[in-house]
Amino acid sequence: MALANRTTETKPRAAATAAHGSRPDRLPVVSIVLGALSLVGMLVSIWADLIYAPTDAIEGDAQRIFYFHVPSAWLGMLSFCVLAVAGVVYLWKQDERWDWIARAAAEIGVVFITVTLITGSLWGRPIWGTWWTWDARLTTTLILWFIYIAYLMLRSYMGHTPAGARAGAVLGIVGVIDVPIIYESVNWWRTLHPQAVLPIGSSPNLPPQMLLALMLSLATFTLLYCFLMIQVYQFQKLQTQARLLRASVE
Amino acid sequence: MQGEGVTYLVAAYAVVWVALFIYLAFITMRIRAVRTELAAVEELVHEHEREQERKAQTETK
Repeated sequence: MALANRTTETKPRAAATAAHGSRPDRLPVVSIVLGALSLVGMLVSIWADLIYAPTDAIEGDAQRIFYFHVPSAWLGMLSFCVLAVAGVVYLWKQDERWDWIARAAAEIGVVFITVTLITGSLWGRPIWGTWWTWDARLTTTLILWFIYIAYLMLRSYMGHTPAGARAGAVLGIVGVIDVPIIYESVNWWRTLHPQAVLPIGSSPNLPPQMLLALMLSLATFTLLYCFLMIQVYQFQKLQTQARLLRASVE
Repeated sequence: MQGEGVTYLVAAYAVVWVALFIYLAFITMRIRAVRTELAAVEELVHEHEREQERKAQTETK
């Protein structure tokens, strides 16, 4: 890190840093703020989900799984939208930074979608009596998980090349079609999965205390998502700088 | 039902928070590793430059 403070830039190092901005030696302030807010939000959310929100009369305590199942699903879908938008902008501007955003969104999105599928199964077992059913919502979500995996495998196979970035962008743009299908699946098909609790354009189907607990969890998970995005973006940036420098001496 | 529900609730909470913390630790380790690598490569670049400067000076003499 001592080298980062040197003021005399030589040509290869200048090329590596000038193309992508100065190298961050510590966490950006926004990242520290987001991390702290996420931590506080987690503690408040756990209290709200487990103590403040009333127990569901029909589903019992298993219903509380929904307070982090829904935010995970929301972020898994949002992340794919971020991936697709970053892909469009990358194809348009050919700026590598948009590809870093797409990669970060894919990596974090797959974590949230995996959490969604696991927590959904853990809720389904006591409520439906089965870990998994080929219901429209579950199946379309599983398809999204496979699209994420396909994206990550494609990027890993093609490496850090413009061709890989373009192929990833196209896959992201095509794959995002699944997101509205997931959202509308409970309306388009007869499914076991409950209807949307926060339907677009109408009032929420939840008592106020449950709604508040859900909103707190949604806000916390979104903050955590932003924090993770910054971390993975920084990682992509540092990795690219190291690669460019290595290439300059080889 | 209530007791069973609690078991699944605890399992789901454990999955969520453990998964997120493991992922966060994984990201932190990767960032640390790439920073170390970057510092090493920068050192290599400096060595390479010094060597080239020395060669250039020798040739001038």
